[in-house]
Amino acid sequence: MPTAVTRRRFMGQTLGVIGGTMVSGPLLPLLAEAAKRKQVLRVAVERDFESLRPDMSAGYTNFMLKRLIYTTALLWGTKQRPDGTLTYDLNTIEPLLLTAYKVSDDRQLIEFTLRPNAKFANGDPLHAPALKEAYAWLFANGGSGGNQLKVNGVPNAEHIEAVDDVTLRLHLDRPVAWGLYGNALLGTSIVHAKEIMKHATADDPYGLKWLETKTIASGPFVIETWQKGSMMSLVPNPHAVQPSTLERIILQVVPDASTRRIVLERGDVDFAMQISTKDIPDLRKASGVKVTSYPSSRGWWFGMTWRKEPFNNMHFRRAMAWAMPYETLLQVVTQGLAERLRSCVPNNISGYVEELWPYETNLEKAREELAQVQVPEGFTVTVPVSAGDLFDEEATVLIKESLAKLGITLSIQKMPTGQKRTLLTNKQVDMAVYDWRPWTPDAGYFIHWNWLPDSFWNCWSYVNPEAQTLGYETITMATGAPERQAKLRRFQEIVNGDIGLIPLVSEFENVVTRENVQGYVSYPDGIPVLAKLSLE
Amino acid sequence: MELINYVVRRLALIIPTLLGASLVMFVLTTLIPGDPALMRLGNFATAEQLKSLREEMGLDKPPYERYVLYLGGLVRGDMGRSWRTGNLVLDDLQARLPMSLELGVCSMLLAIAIGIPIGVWGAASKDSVVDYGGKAYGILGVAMPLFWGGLVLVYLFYFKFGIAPAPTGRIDMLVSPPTHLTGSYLLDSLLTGDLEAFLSSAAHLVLPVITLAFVTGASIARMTYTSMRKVLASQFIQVSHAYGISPRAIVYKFALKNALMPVVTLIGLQVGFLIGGVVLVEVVFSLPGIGRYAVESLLVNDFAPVQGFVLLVLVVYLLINLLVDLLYSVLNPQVHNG
Repeated sequence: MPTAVTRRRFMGQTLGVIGGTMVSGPLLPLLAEAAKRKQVLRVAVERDFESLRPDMSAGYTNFMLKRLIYTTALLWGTKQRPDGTLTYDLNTIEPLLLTAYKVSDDRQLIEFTLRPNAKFANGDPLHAPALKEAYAWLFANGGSGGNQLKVNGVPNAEHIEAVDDVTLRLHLDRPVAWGLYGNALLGTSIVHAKEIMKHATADDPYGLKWLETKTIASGPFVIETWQKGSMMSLVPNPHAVQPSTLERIILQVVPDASTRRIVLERGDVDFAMQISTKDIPDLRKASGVKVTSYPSSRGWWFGMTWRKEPFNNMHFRRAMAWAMPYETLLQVVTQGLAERLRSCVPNNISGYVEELWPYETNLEKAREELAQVQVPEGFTVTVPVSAGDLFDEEATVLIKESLAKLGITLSIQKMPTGQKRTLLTNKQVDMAVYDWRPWTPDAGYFIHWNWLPDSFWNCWSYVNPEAQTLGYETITMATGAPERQAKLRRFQEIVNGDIGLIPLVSEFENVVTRENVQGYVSYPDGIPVLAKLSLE
Repeated sequence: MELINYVVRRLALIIPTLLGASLVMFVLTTLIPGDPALMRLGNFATAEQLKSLREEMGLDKPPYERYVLYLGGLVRGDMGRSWRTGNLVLDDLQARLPMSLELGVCSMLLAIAIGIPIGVWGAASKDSVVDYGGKAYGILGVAMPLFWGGLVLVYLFYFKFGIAPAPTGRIDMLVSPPTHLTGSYLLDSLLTGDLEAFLSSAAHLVLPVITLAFVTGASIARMTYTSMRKVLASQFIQVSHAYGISPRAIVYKFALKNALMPVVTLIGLQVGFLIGGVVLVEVVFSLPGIGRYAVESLLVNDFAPVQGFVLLVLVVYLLINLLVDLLYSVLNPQVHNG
């Protein structure tokens, strides 16, 4: 006789199923997999990986993926800090794909000697002709990779010479300070150009559409599965030039920062990316969690345009410099996880000079300076802020409070990051918090992108012929040369004197992992090289 | 015949509605000053590269020309391409829609299963514990922000008690998803007999569904309660009592059927709220649905997915409301659509 379905029985059974699945759902697979999970690194990332194209900018998660699936010719060397953690060393180079390299005396010829049996993941040779093809493809498609090579001093593909299978020469059109270690940057990631070009069509002459979702890896890992918007699983590339100890890497998309934090605390992931600075003090106390803070070259400034009054008035600029709440920003916004920045170039890079910035918070001096400028009554400035960028949002609010005491009103306009970037590069911003991280840790590199008349990020339209001549000169000089250091110092004297930008803070790079994760190295670009990690 | 004419007329109305919506969306996204080409190229772009990419993306054309091209694409079923994912928007939406449907349908079913009984029991037993409890739930559910509700559930059931799975997507990281048939993990794992995938994906849906259903169900409970109270106070119910019909039959057979009309309307309207809620819940629980796809695209000035999302949601909303209107005539034969 069939059992009658009553409301009570139905509700009971429904709740039973819900409860049962909640308990058994997560438990079954974990029990089954627990034994075999040894060197499987689970990483919570903020967003999807978007594209496998190495020639386009697609955010932090994407950059991290590129370090896994593409190799560069070389990487910065590594050194140990006093606390035992690892950071990059500009004086040494890790020759990933190379066995040796040479730089000519005039620094216009760089010769790579490649590993003799290097291969792509599909077994095809990764020799000098293949490397030349890869670089030529970067030039041809017009993306950021070719541009990076140009910035490194290689003007076009004709300046790349494959001498034989293991020798590749880069003929620079001028000596460039970062000409050698510029080849560690992600923009120069090595792709299998021949394979990509098999998928080229008349509409897509460089096979870019194929490369959006498929590729042949040259890096330490290959993609095993990719569930769009959700997760990616990678396994070691059998032909990797530098094999990893990890057996698998699972990148799980967890868009909410607080969720990333708690899944790390619960031990469901080993590494959580882009944790909010606000959470760091608590996470330091959490059991099983390791937080390591590294000094970084990501700087934050307050920028003002030079294109109109009163922003280009030196009294006004000095007033702003005296009015910035430097210590409050450091303690409140960054929770002390940053250091004061004191120059127009970032901290923790070669060429940075600290003692050239005389300004501290002093509203009296700010008022004195402002009294010498004709600022209209109720002067209001619209300030764009990147929505979701905690430092930008909170720092701007604190600066607004401070400037309000001088009678200046900031009207905060929140917008997506892309929108603010466009306004900045179109030179349409009067005042804003500005951040930049040079991926090559060299003051000259930062000057190249930010301070010259034709710099793409000279958002404030700064002009000073003396400083800019020095800036151009530092690009071509050898990094360690004493006279280059002197020129970089003089450049900073001039630009800081002009109050080109008001330096605020230099954020730490906070790395949050489970305690058993070892081998993290802090690189200048801030992008983790997951293949170097291991689980204890 | 009258009904068929009505349906055809309503379906035909969808076209001008979509046309209007596409124009509004296009104008809005054109007005936003962000530059997708700059976002694509990043910090190290040059002016020449930007110019070249703008041409490639069609951004150098005047807005009206881009709109005409966009409309031409829509007619051919082409919603454009997302520069962020590199895929056709239609493909991306197709890949993500099953997740959002799974979440939305389960949430709506649970919301109805919670909301209607609470409303009915509360109305039928005035001034009782059930009545006050139902009212309290109605207020709490409507007032509670979805995002916060999701985080609280995660904190309690995952972080504190450890009985819910990690809010890291549709399925456990170490479990393979079921073979793709419909795109719904629940259905696909059932159809392929993959018990491990079914248990894992069902477990991952529990908290998101409760989060959405708790809020949606509160509105349904309030509407059911109000409607039931009105019907229970009407003359025919009092006559039914006088005839000696059992109170149970009066409530469930006579009153409920009459009280359901506004509730059905509300459920149709709640679909709009549910779609908005799905966006937030997908973020909290790391679910790769269409809502998160649209939000993430918007943040990086990738507008084709946003336009595609809005049009898709509009179609779903219009179709569900048509369905609701048709349901009226089923619930009450006196109602004629036409």
